[in-house]
Amino acid sequence: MIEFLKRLDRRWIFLVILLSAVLPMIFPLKLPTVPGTDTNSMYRELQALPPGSIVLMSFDYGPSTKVELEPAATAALTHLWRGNRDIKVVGMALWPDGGPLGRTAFKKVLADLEKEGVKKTYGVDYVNLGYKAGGVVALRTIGNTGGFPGAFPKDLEGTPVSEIPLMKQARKYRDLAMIVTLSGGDPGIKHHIQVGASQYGLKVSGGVTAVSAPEMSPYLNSGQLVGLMGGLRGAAEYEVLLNINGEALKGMNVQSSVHMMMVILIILSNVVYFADRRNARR
Amino acid sequence: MRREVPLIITFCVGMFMICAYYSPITEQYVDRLNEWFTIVTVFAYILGIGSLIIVNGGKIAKTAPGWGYNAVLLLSFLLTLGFGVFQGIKEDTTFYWIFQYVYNPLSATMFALLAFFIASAAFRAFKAKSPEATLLLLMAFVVMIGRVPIGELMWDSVHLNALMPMNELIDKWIMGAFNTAGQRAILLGASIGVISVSLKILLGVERSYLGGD
Repeated sequence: MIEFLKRLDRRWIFLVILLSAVLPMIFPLKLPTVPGTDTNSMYRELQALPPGSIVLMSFDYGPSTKVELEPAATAALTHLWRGNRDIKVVGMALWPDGGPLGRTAFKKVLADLEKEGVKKTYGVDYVNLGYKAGGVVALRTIGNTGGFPGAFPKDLEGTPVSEIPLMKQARKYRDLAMIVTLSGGDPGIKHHIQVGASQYGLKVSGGVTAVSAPEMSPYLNSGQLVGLMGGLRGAAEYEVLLNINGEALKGMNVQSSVHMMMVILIILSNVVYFADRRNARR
Repeated sequence: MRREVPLIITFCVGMFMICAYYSPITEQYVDRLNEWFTIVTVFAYILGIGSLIIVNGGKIAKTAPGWGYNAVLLLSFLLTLGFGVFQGIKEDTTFYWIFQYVYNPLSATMFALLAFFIASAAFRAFKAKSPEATLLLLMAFVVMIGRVPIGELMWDSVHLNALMPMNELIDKWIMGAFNTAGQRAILLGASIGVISVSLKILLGVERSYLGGD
Protein backbone atom coordinates (compact mmCIF):
# COMPACT_ATOMS: atom_id res chain seq x y z
CA MET A 1 0.00 0.00 0.00
CA ILE A 2 2.79 2.41 1.01
CA GLU A 3 4.68 1.57 -2.19
CA PHE A 4 1.53 2.14 -4.26
CA LEU A 5 0.97 5.56 -2.66
CA LYS A 6 4.65 6.44 -3.07
CA ARG A 7 4.48 5.81 -6.79
CA LEU A 8 0.93 7.09 -7.22
CA ASP A 9 0.39 8.49 -10.69
CA ARG A 10 -0.91 12.04 -10.45
CA ARG A 11 -3.70 11.17 -12.87
CA TRP A 12 -5.31 9.17 -10.02
CA ILE A 13 -5.26 12.34 -7.91
CA PHE A 14 -6.86 14.27 -10.78
CA LEU A 15 -9.58 11.61 -11.04
CA VAL A 16 -10.27 11.67 -7.29
CA ILE A 17 -10.53 15.50 -7.31
CA LEU A 18 -12.79 15.38 -10.37
CA LEU A 19 -15.13 12.90 -8.67
CA SER A 20 -15.19 14.86 -5.42
CA ALA A 21 -16.15 17.97 -7.42
CA VAL A 22 -18.76 16.35 -9.66
CA LEU A 23 -20.53 13.99 -7.25
CA PRO A 24 -21.83 16.70 -4.85
CA MET A 25 -23.29 18.51 -7.88
CA ILE A 26 -25.30 15.39 -8.74
CA PHE A 27 -26.08 14.41 -5.15
CA PRO A 28 -26.16 17.68 -3.19
CA LEU A 29 -25.50 17.51 0.54
CA LYS A 30 -27.55 19.71 2.83
CA LEU A 31 -24.81 21.19 4.96
CA PRO A 32 -25.40 24.09 7.37
CA THR A 33 -23.53 27.38 6.76
CA VAL A 34 -23.17 29.71 9.73
CA PRO A 35 -22.49 33.40 8.88
CA GLY A 36 -19.20 34.72 10.24
CA THR A 37 -18.37 38.07 11.87
CA ASP A 38 -17.18 39.91 8.74
CA THR A 39 -20.16 38.84 6.61
CA ASN A 40 -22.54 39.85 9.40
CA SER A 41 -20.87 43.29 9.59
CA MET A 42 -21.27 43.81 5.86
CA TYR A 43 -24.91 42.76 6.01
CA ARG A 44 -25.58 45.24 8.84
CA GLU A 45 -23.88 48.10 6.97
CA LEU A 46 -25.84 47.48 3.77
CA GLN A 47 -29.04 47.06 5.75
CA ALA A 48 -28.49 50.42 7.47
CA LEU A 49 -28.25 52.41 4.21
CA PRO A 50 -31.04 55.01 4.15
CA PRO A 51 -33.40 55.32 1.14
CA GLY A 52 -31.93 57.36 -1.70
CA SER A 53 -28.36 56.30 -0.92
CA ILE A 54 -25.95 55.88 -3.82
CA VAL A 55 -23.59 52.90 -3.69
CA LEU A 56 -20.53 52.55 -5.92
CA MET A 57 -20.19 48.92 -6.94
CA SER A 58 -16.83 48.09 -8.46
CA PHE A 59 -16.59 44.87 -10.47
CA ASP A 60 -12.86 44.32 -10.23
CA TYR A 61 -12.65 40.73 -11.41
CA GLY A 62 -12.40 38.58 -14.51
CA PRO A 63 -13.82 35.26 -15.67
CA SER A 64 -11.14 33.33 -13.73
CA THR A 65 -12.48 34.56 -10.38
CA LYS A 66 -16.09 34.96 -11.51
CA VAL A 67 -17.17 31.74 -9.79
CA GLU A 68 -16.23 33.18 -6.40
CA LEU A 69 -17.10 36.83 -6.93
CA GLU A 70 -20.25 36.83 -9.05
CA PRO A 71 -22.28 35.17 -6.25
CA ALA A 72 -20.90 37.85 -3.90
CA ALA A 73 -21.91 40.60 -6.35
CA THR A 74 -25.40 39.20 -6.85
CA ALA A 75 -25.88 38.71 -3.08
CA ALA A 76 -24.92 42.34 -2.35
CA LEU A 77 -27.10 43.66 -5.21
CA THR A 78 -30.03 41.52 -4.08
CA HIS A 79 -29.70 42.96 -0.58
CA LEU A 80 -29.60 46.52 -1.92
CA TRP A 81 -32.70 46.12 -4.07
CA ARG A 82 -34.88 43.45 -2.44
CA GLY A 83 -38.20 44.79 -1.22
CA ASN A 84 -37.83 47.60 -3.79
CA ARG A 85 -35.40 49.52 -1.55
CA ASP A 86 -34.58 52.90 -3.03
CA ILE A 87 -30.84 52.39 -3.31
CA LYS A 88 -29.06 53.63 -6.43
CA VAL A 89 -26.09 51.68 -7.75
CA VAL A 90 -23.25 53.08 -9.85
CA GLY A 91 -21.25 50.22 -11.39
CA MET A 92 -17.66 50.55 -12.55
CA ALA A 93 -14.62 48.33 -13.11
CA LEU A 94 -10.88 48.53 -12.61
CA TRP A 95 -10.48 45.35 -14.67
CA PRO A 96 -11.23 45.34 -18.44
CA ASP A 97 -13.44 42.23 -18.03
CA GLY A 98 -15.33 43.78 -15.12
CA GLY A 99 -17.70 45.94 -17.18
CA PRO A 100 -19.41 43.09 -19.09
CA LEU A 101 -19.33 40.86 -15.98
CA GLY A 102 -21.04 43.63 -14.04
CA ARG A 103 -23.68 43.78 -16.76
CA THR A 104 -24.28 40.02 -16.29
CA ALA A 105 -24.63 40.46 -12.50
CA PHE A 106 -27.12 43.33 -12.88
CA LYS A 107 -29.21 41.32 -15.37
CA LYS A 108 -29.19 38.20 -13.19
CA VAL A 109 -30.32 40.02 -10.05
CA LEU A 110 -33.00 42.01 -11.89
CA ALA A 111 -34.35 38.82 -13.50
CA ASP A 112 -34.52 37.12 -10.06
CA LEU A 113 -36.09 40.11 -8.31
CA GLU A 114 -38.62 40.71 -11.08
CA LYS A 115 -40.55 37.70 -9.71
CA GLU A 116 -40.85 39.60 -6.42
CA GLY A 117 -42.16 42.69 -8.22
CA VAL A 118 -38.93 44.70 -8.03
CA LYS A 119 -38.34 46.96 -11.00
CA LYS A 120 -35.25 49.07 -11.55
CA THR A 121 -34.61 51.36 -14.49
CA TYR A 122 -31.23 51.70 -16.15
CA GLY A 123 -29.92 55.23 -15.88
CA VAL A 124 -32.30 56.11 -13.04
CA ASP A 125 -31.73 53.40 -10.42
CA TYR A 126 -28.46 51.98 -11.69
CA VAL A 127 -25.78 52.52 -14.25
CA ASN A 128 -22.74 50.58 -15.47
CA LEU A 129 -19.87 52.92 -16.31
CA GLY A 130 -17.55 50.11 -17.42
CA TYR A 131 -13.76 49.98 -17.27
CA LYS A 132 -11.33 52.73 -16.41
CA ALA A 133 -7.60 52.12 -16.89
CA GLY A 134 -5.02 53.15 -14.32
CA GLY A 135 -5.94 51.38 -11.06
CA VAL A 136 -5.43 53.69 -8.09
CA VAL A 137 -4.99 56.72 -10.36
CA ALA A 138 -8.31 55.95 -12.03
CA LEU A 139 -9.93 56.20 -8.60
CA ARG A 140 -8.10 59.45 -7.88
CA THR A 141 -9.47 60.76 -11.19
CA ILE A 142 -12.99 60.28 -9.77
CA GLY A 143 -11.90 62.39 -6.82
CA ASN A 144 -10.62 65.08 -9.21
CA THR A 145 -12.49 68.30 -9.88
CA GLY A 146 -14.21 66.60 -12.86
CA GLY A 147 -15.64 63.80 -10.69
CA PHE A 148 -17.36 60.80 -12.28
CA PRO A 149 -18.17 62.60 -15.58
CA GLY A 150 -14.50 63.53 -15.93
CA ALA A 151 -13.32 59.98 -15.28
CA PHE A 152 -16.09 58.24 -17.26
CA PRO A 153 -17.32 60.45 -20.15
CA LYS A 154 -19.51 57.56 -21.39
CA ASP A 155 -21.08 54.48 -19.78
CA LEU A 156 -20.50 50.88 -20.92
CA GLU A 157 -23.28 51.18 -23.52
CA GLY A 158 -21.72 54.33 -25.00
CA THR A 159 -24.27 56.79 -23.61
CA PRO A 160 -22.71 60.13 -22.60
CA VAL A 161 -22.74 60.35 -18.80
CA SER A 162 -24.23 63.86 -19.04
CA GLU A 163 -27.42 62.25 -20.47
CA ILE A 164 -27.80 59.74 -17.60
CA PRO A 165 -30.17 61.05 -14.86
CA LEU A 166 -28.49 59.07 -12.03
CA MET A 167 -25.11 60.61 -12.84
CA LYS A 168 -26.53 64.07 -12.12
CA GLN A 169 -26.86 62.93 -8.49
CA ALA A 170 -23.64 60.92 -8.40
CA ARG A 171 -20.98 63.40 -9.44
CA LYS A 172 -18.27 63.00 -6.81
CA TYR A 173 -17.13 60.74 -4.00
CA ARG A 174 -19.04 62.84 -1.46
CA ASP A 175 -22.33 61.89 -3.18
CA LEU A 176 -21.75 58.22 -2.36
CA ALA A 177 -22.89 56.43 0.78
CA MET A 178 -20.67 53.39 0.42
CA ILE A 179 -18.29 51.52 -1.87
CA VAL A 180 -18.88 47.81 -2.45
CA THR A 181 -16.05 46.22 -4.38
CA LEU A 182 -15.77 42.69 -5.74
CA SER A 183 -12.08 42.25 -6.01
CA GLY A 184 -10.18 39.47 -7.74
CA GLY A 185 -6.72 40.95 -7.10
CA ASP A 186 -4.80 44.02 -8.16
CA PRO A 187 -6.20 46.65 -8.81
CA GLY A 188 -9.07 46.18 -6.42
CA ILE A 189 -10.20 46.48 -2.85
CA LYS A 190 -6.89 47.85 -1.46
CA HIS A 191 -7.04 50.77 -3.88
CA HIS A 192 -10.63 51.55 -2.95
CA ILE A 193 -9.50 51.57 0.70
CA GLN A 194 -6.54 53.86 -0.11
CA VAL A 195 -8.67 56.37 -2.00
CA GLY A 196 -12.34 55.94 -1.03
CA ALA A 197 -11.87 55.16 2.67
CA SER A 198 -8.61 56.94 3.55
CA GLN A 199 -8.91 60.08 1.41
CA TYR A 200 -12.67 60.57 1.23
CA GLY A 201 -13.83 58.88 4.45
CA LEU A 202 -16.23 56.51 2.70
CA LYS A 203 -17.29 53.15 4.06
CA VAL A 204 -15.78 50.33 2.00
CA SER A 205 -16.93 46.72 2.00
CA GLY A 206 -17.06 43.93 -0.56
CA GLY A 207 -16.06 40.48 -1.60
CA VAL A 208 -12.63 39.02 -2.28
CA THR A 209 -11.34 35.63 -3.38
CA ALA A 210 -10.68 33.15 -0.56
CA VAL A 211 -6.96 33.27 -1.28
CA SER A 212 -6.76 37.02 -0.64
CA ALA A 213 -9.18 37.14 2.32
CA PRO A 214 -6.40 36.73 4.95
CA GLU A 215 -4.69 39.86 3.56
CA MET A 216 -7.79 41.88 4.43
CA SER A 217 -7.75 41.25 8.18
CA PRO A 218 -5.61 44.31 9.07
CA TYR A 219 -8.07 46.55 7.19
CA LEU A 220 -11.07 44.94 8.92
CA ASN A 221 -9.34 45.27 12.25
CA SER A 222 -8.63 48.99 11.68
CA GLY A 223 -12.18 49.70 10.48
CA GLN A 224 -11.04 50.76 7.00
CA LEU A 225 -13.13 47.84 5.75
CA VAL A 226 -16.58 47.70 7.34
CA GLY A 227 -17.37 44.14 6.26
CA LEU A 228 -16.23 41.42 3.91
CA MET A 229 -17.38 38.37 2.03
CA GLY A 230 -14.29 36.16 1.98
CA GLY A 231 -14.41 33.83 -1.02
CA LEU A 232 -17.34 31.67 -2.03
CA ARG A 233 -17.84 30.87 1.65
CA GLY A 234 -18.47 34.58 2.39
CA ALA A 235 -21.00 34.80 -0.44
CA ALA A 236 -22.72 31.64 0.86
CA GLU A 237 -22.93 33.17 4.35
CA TYR A 238 -24.48 36.30 2.82
CA GLU A 239 -27.03 34.14 0.99
CA VAL A 240 -27.92 32.52 4.34
CA LEU A 241 -28.48 35.99 5.82
CA LEU A 242 -30.68 36.89 2.84
CA ASN A 243 -32.46 33.55 3.12
CA ILE A 244 -31.86 32.61 -0.51
CA ASN A 245 -30.47 29.40 -2.00
CA GLY A 246 -28.07 30.84 -4.54
CA GLU A 247 -25.02 29.74 -6.47
CA ALA A 248 -22.65 30.19 -3.52
CA LEU A 249 -24.56 27.85 -1.23
CA LYS A 250 -24.69 25.24 -3.99
CA GLY A 251 -20.94 25.69 -4.47
CA MET A 252 -20.28 25.02 -0.78
CA ASN A 253 -21.16 21.35 -1.34
CA VAL A 254 -18.42 21.04 -3.94
CA GLN A 255 -15.95 23.03 -1.85
CA SER A 256 -16.68 20.88 1.23
CA SER A 257 -16.03 17.66 -0.62
CA VAL A 258 -12.89 18.89 -2.45
CA HIS A 259 -11.41 20.35 0.76
CA MET A 260 -12.03 17.08 2.57
CA MET A 261 -10.40 15.14 -0.24
CA MET A 262 -7.37 17.47 -0.16
CA VAL A 263 -7.03 16.90 3.59
CA ILE A 264 -7.24 13.13 3.11
CA LEU A 265 -4.61 13.28 0.36
CA ILE A 266 -2.25 15.34 2.53
CA ILE A 267 -2.72 12.93 5.46
CA LEU A 268 -1.98 9.97 3.16
CA SER A 269 1.13 11.64 1.80
CA ASN A 270 2.36 12.25 5.37
CA VAL A 271 1.67 8.63 6.32
CA VAL A 272 3.83 7.61 3.36
CA TYR A 273 6.51 10.13 4.37
CA PHE A 274 6.74 8.89 7.99
CA ALA A 275 6.62 5.22 6.99
CA ASP A 276 9.41 5.85 4.53
CA ARG A 277 11.49 7.67 7.16
CA ARG A 278 11.01 4.83 9.63
CA ASN A 279 12.09 2.28 7.01
CA ALA A 280 15.17 4.34 6.21
CA ARG A 281 16.18 4.47 9.91
CA ARG A 282 15.97 0.68 10.11
CA MET B 1 22.34 65.68 -19.92
CA ARG B 2 20.74 62.38 -20.96
CA ARG B 3 20.77 61.32 -17.31
CA GLU B 4 20.39 64.66 -15.53
CA VAL B 5 17.20 65.81 -17.29
CA PRO B 6 15.13 62.65 -16.44
CA LEU B 7 16.47 62.79 -12.87
CA ILE B 8 15.41 66.45 -12.50
CA ILE B 9 11.95 65.71 -13.98
CA THR B 10 11.51 62.72 -11.62
CA PHE B 11 12.56 64.76 -8.59
CA CYS B 12 10.34 67.75 -9.42
CA VAL B 13 7.21 65.72 -10.31
CA GLY B 14 7.68 63.36 -7.33
CA MET B 15 8.13 66.19 -4.83
CA PHE B 16 5.18 68.06 -6.34
CA MET B 17 2.91 65.01 -5.98
CA ILE B 18 3.97 64.51 -2.35
CA CYS B 19 3.31 68.18 -1.49
CA ALA B 20 0.06 68.22 -3.50
CA TYR B 21 -1.37 65.47 -1.29
CA TYR B 22 -1.48 67.98 1.57
CA SER B 23 -2.53 71.08 -0.37
CA PRO B 24 -5.88 71.83 -2.06
CA ILE B 25 -4.33 74.70 -4.10
CA THR B 26 -2.59 72.26 -6.43
CA GLU B 27 -5.77 70.27 -7.19
CA GLN B 28 -6.10 71.21 -10.87
CA TYR B 29 -2.44 70.37 -11.61
CA VAL B 30 -2.81 66.99 -9.88
CA ASP B 31 -5.91 66.36 -12.02
CA ARG B 32 -3.87 67.01 -15.14
CA LEU B 33 -1.05 64.70 -14.02
CA ASN B 34 -3.57 61.95 -13.18
CA GLU B 35 -5.01 62.27 -16.69
CA TRP B 36 -1.53 61.99 -18.16
CA PHE B 37 -0.96 58.82 -16.14
CA THR B 38 -4.17 57.28 -17.52
CA ILE B 39 -3.11 58.13 -21.08
CA VAL B 40 0.34 56.59 -20.52
CA THR B 41 -1.37 53.44 -19.11
CA VAL B 42 -3.39 53.10 -22.30
CA PHE B 43 -0.18 53.36 -24.34
CA ALA B 44 1.13 50.36 -22.37
CA TYR B 45 -1.68 48.34 -23.99
CA ILE B 46 -0.51 49.50 -27.43
CA LEU B 47 3.03 48.43 -26.52
CA GLY B 48 1.64 45.04 -25.44
CA ILE B 49 -0.23 44.63 -28.72
CA GLY B 50 2.92 45.48 -30.69
CA SER B 51 4.97 42.99 -28.70
CA LEU B 52 2.31 40.27 -29.15
CA ILE B 53 2.28 40.76 -32.94
CA ILE B 54 6.08 40.89 -33.28
CA VAL B 55 6.77 37.82 -31.10
CA ASN B 56 4.00 35.62 -32.53
CA GLY B 57 4.33 36.93 -36.09
CA GLY B 58 8.06 36.11 -35.99
CA LYS B 59 7.41 32.53 -34.92
CA ILE B 60 4.78 32.08 -37.65
CA ALA B 61 7.12 33.52 -40.32
CA LYS B 62 9.91 31.14 -39.25
CA THR B 63 7.43 28.21 -38.92
CA ALA B 64 9.04 27.58 -35.51
CA PRO B 65 7.89 24.49 -33.55
CA GLY B 66 4.33 25.03 -32.35
CA TRP B 67 3.77 27.94 -34.77
CA GLY B 68 0.17 26.79 -35.20
CA TYR B 69 -0.61 27.90 -31.64
CA ASN B 70 0.90 31.32 -32.37
CA ALA B 71 -1.27 31.55 -35.48
CA VAL B 72 -4.42 30.67 -33.51
CA LEU B 73 -3.51 33.28 -30.87
CA LEU B 74 -2.81 36.00 -33.41
CA LEU B 75 -5.92 35.21 -35.48
CA SER B 76 -8.17 35.16 -32.40
CA PHE B 77 -6.64 38.41 -31.20
CA LEU B 78 -7.05 40.20 -34.53
CA LEU B 79 -10.63 38.94 -35.01
CA THR B 80 -11.69 39.98 -31.50
CA LEU B 81 -9.97 43.36 -31.86
CA GLY B 82 -11.57 43.90 -35.26
CA PHE B 83 -15.08 43.09 -34.02
CA GLY B 84 -14.55 45.36 -30.99
CA VAL B 85 -13.23 48.28 -33.01
CA PHE B 86 -15.74 48.13 -35.88
CA GLN B 87 -18.90 46.85 -34.16
CA GLY B 88 -18.39 48.12 -30.61
CA ILE B 89 -18.73 46.20 -27.34
CA LYS B 90 -22.46 46.48 -26.69
CA GLU B 91 -24.58 43.48 -25.73
CA ASP B 92 -25.76 42.57 -29.24
CA THR B 93 -22.32 42.61 -30.84
CA THR B 94 -20.05 39.75 -31.96
CA PHE B 95 -17.36 41.03 -29.57
CA TYR B 96 -19.68 40.51 -26.61
CA TRP B 97 -20.65 37.06 -27.92
CA ILE B 98 -16.94 36.11 -28.08
CA PHE B 99 -16.41 37.49 -24.56
CA GLN B 100 -19.42 35.70 -23.12
CA TYR B 101 -19.24 32.34 -24.86
CA VAL B 102 -15.56 31.86 -25.79
CA TYR B 103 -13.26 33.91 -23.54
CA ASN B 104 -15.36 33.57 -20.38
CA PRO B 105 -15.56 29.74 -20.28
CA LEU B 106 -11.98 29.29 -21.54
CA SER B 107 -10.57 31.59 -18.88
CA ALA B 108 -12.64 29.96 -16.13
CA THR B 109 -11.54 26.50 -17.31
CA MET B 110 -7.86 27.45 -17.21
CA PHE B 111 -8.26 28.69 -13.64
CA ALA B 112 -10.29 25.62 -12.60
CA LEU B 113 -7.43 23.36 -13.71
CA LEU B 114 -5.42 24.84 -10.84
CA ALA B 115 -7.46 22.78 -8.35
CA PHE B 116 -6.10 19.57 -9.87
CA PHE B 117 -2.50 20.75 -9.90
CA ILE B 118 -2.74 22.15 -6.36
CA ALA B 119 -4.11 18.80 -5.13
CA SER B 120 -1.28 16.94 -6.85
CA ALA B 121 1.35 19.39 -5.56
CA ALA B 122 -0.07 19.23 -2.01
CA PHE B 123 0.12 15.42 -2.09
CA ARG B 124 3.76 15.56 -3.15
CA ALA B 125 5.08 18.46 -1.11
CA PHE B 126 2.92 19.27 1.93
CA LYS B 127 4.77 17.21 4.55
CA ALA B 128 5.46 17.65 8.26
CA LYS B 129 9.25 17.71 7.80
CA SER B 130 9.98 20.18 10.64
CA PRO B 131 8.13 21.71 13.64
CA GLU B 132 7.40 24.86 11.55
CA ALA B 133 6.03 22.78 8.66
CA THR B 134 3.89 20.77 11.11
CA LEU B 135 2.43 23.96 12.59
CA LEU B 136 1.68 25.27 9.11
CA LEU B 137 0.10 21.95 8.18
CA LEU B 138 -2.12 21.93 11.27
CA MET B 139 -3.27 25.53 10.69
CA ALA B 140 -3.96 24.71 7.03
CA PHE B 141 -6.08 21.74 8.13
CA VAL B 142 -8.12 23.82 10.57
CA VAL B 143 -8.71 26.63 8.05
CA MET B 144 -9.34 24.29 5.11
CA ILE B 145 -11.86 22.17 7.00
CA GLY B 146 -13.23 25.03 9.10
CA ARG B 147 -14.01 27.18 6.08
CA VAL B 148 -16.46 24.63 4.68
CA PRO B 149 -19.77 23.51 6.20
CA ILE B 150 -18.65 19.89 6.54
CA GLY B 151 -15.92 21.05 8.93
CA GLU B 152 -18.44 22.76 11.18
CA LEU B 153 -20.53 19.61 11.15
CA MET B 154 -17.51 17.53 12.18
CA TRP B 155 -16.55 20.07 14.87
CA ASP B 156 -20.07 19.95 16.23
CA SER B 157 -20.27 16.15 16.09
CA VAL B 158 -17.28 15.81 18.45
CA HIS B 159 -18.92 18.38 20.82
CA LEU B 160 -16.15 20.96 20.39
CA ASN B 161 -18.72 23.66 19.67
CA ALA B 162 -19.43 23.96 23.38
CA LEU B 163 -15.75 24.71 23.95
CA MET B 164 -15.47 27.24 21.10
CA PRO B 165 -17.52 27.52 17.88
CA MET B 166 -15.50 26.78 14.75
CA ASN B 167 -16.31 30.22 13.29
CA GLU B 168 -14.99 31.92 16.41
CA LEU B 169 -11.80 29.87 16.38
CA ILE B 170 -11.09 30.87 12.78
CA ASP B 171 -12.45 34.46 12.70
CA LYS B 172 -11.33 35.59 16.14
CA TRP B 173 -8.15 33.64 16.75
CA ILE B 174 -6.51 32.28 13.60
CA MET B 175 -7.55 35.13 11.26
CA GLY B 176 -8.19 37.93 13.75
CA ALA B 177 -5.14 37.47 15.99
CA PHE B 178 -2.31 35.43 14.45
CA ASN B 179 -3.02 36.24 10.80
CA THR B 180 -3.68 39.95 11.43
CA ALA B 181 -0.42 40.31 13.35
CA GLY B 182 1.53 38.60 10.58
CA GLN B 183 -0.20 40.47 7.76
CA ARG B 184 0.27 43.79 9.53
CA ALA B 185 3.97 43.13 9.98
CA ILE B 186 4.32 42.24 6.28
CA LEU B 187 2.29 45.31 5.27
CA LEU B 188 4.31 47.70 7.42
CA GLY B 189 7.60 46.19 6.26
CA ALA B 190 6.56 46.41 2.60
CA SER B 191 5.30 50.00 3.04
CA ILE B 192 8.55 51.14 4.65
CA GLY B 193 10.37 49.43 1.78
CA VAL B 194 8.24 51.29 -0.78
CA ILE B 195 8.91 54.63 0.95
CA SER B 196 12.63 53.92 1.04
CA VAL B 197 12.80 52.91 -2.65
CA SER B 198 10.63 55.90 -3.65
CA LEU B 199 12.97 58.28 -1.82
CA LYS B 200 15.98 56.65 -3.47
CA ILE B 201 14.35 57.15 -6.90
CA LEU B 202 13.38 60.77 -6.16
CA LEU B 203 16.86 61.63 -4.90
CA GLY B 204 18.51 59.94 -7.87
CA VAL B 205 20.24 57.23 -5.81
CA GLU B 206 18.31 54.45 -7.56
CA ARG B 207 18.65 54.92 -11.32
CA SER B 208 17.96 51.47 -12.74
CA TYR B 209 14.61 52.69 -14.16
CA LEU B 210 16.61 54.82 -16.62
CA GLY B 211 18.07 51.67 -18.16
CA GLY B 212 21.76 50.92 -18.65
CA ASP B 213 23.81 50.42 -15.45
